[in-house]
Amino acid sequence: MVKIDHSVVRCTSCDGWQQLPPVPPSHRARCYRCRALLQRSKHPSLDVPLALSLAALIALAIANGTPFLSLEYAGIRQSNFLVTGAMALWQDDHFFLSLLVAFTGILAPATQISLVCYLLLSIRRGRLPWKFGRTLRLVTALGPWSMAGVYLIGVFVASAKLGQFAALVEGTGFYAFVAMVLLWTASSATLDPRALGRRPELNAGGAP
Amino acid sequence: MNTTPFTCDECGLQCRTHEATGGTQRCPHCHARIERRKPGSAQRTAALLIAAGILYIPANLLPIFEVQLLGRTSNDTILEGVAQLIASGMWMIGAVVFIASIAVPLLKILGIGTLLLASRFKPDSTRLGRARLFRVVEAIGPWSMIDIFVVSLMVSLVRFGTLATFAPGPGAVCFACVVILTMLAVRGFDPRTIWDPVEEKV
Ligand SMILES: [Zn+2]
Ligand SMILES: [Zn+2]
Repeated sequence: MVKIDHSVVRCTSCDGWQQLPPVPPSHRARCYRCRALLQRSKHPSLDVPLALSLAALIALAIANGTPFLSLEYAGIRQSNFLVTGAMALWQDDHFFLSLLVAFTGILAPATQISLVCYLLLSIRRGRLPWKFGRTLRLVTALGPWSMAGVYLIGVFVASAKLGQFAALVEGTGFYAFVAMVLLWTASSATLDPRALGRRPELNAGGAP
Repeated sequence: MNTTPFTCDECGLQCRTHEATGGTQRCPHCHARIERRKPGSAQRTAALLIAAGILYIPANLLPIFEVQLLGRTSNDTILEGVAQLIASGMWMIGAVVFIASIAVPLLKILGIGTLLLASRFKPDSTRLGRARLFRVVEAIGPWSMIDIFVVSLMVSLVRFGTLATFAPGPGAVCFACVVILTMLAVRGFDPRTIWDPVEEKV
């Protein structure tokens, strides 16, 4: 068994080997030559990102279960849930657009948040999560496709366009969705997924 | 046996590779293939980029919306949508749509194109600049999806039978393809090729 020196790391963006000094709290280590983010501070508490992720999960459930937006035009009221956007496209036979919207707007963020909650809960109990590496890889791979924040900007643009000829009313679901985006952004900012495998809670020290 | 510790690119866990043995090695934690380079990265990225560049033209010329309002039908391209927003005084939102839908995809195509060409000729002095350009292109990627979400919201909200309906136009599908292809191109590009000629160990 070869002892692994955790302080020697290879930058994943440029392959540069370097000695990584201990990162003080609320600091970030960047690669010496390409300036890519290498590591955030070593072992901050997991409670903050866990609480934020769980709150985001609850907000997401509310956003999905309550009316999102409704539009009043010529005396008719058209109510809308979060999934209605993708469902309407499906009904009109725009399958490709429908799947794309459902995946990037709802499915990818929901999967990401649930998996991070699961990982953090397991690690907090001192257990190496089942299929840890693969789950973590799925979370990072979903990253660019998880577009809840972009969806929110889309809502603002759509309401500006519709506001010209009809009254748009935001429902509970809309506010829950805003809360979810904010909570999830805060959670991602306080969490370094690549450092999870080296948490002191896991006595395994990163070995499977 | 000669072993080198390193972090797995996918899961960030520490791995060791036996440099003496060849063949496909996988990360013991996440089973990702351990390779120093994404195989065929440059060719695949170039192919995705050319496809995105070609589709960018119909995405902007074909209508993205087909609106039926009180018996009148109108087809709007992305640029016409921006012009309408600015004409009704919402120049801020118009600017957001212009940047997200027209500027960002173009910037992604030109940015990755520049990186691919530069990796070929390797001007050493611009390395850090190129590494930063890649991070910018990577970060702005998802924001071009705004117009697709706007289309889906409009289609689901504006359903008033003969009074008013809303449908995505052929431009919307082309535009969605541009977004997906540019995002795949960014993912396919290997930023390590920027640093290739440097053989340093610290
Ligand atoms: Zn680097
Ligand atoms: Zn791995």
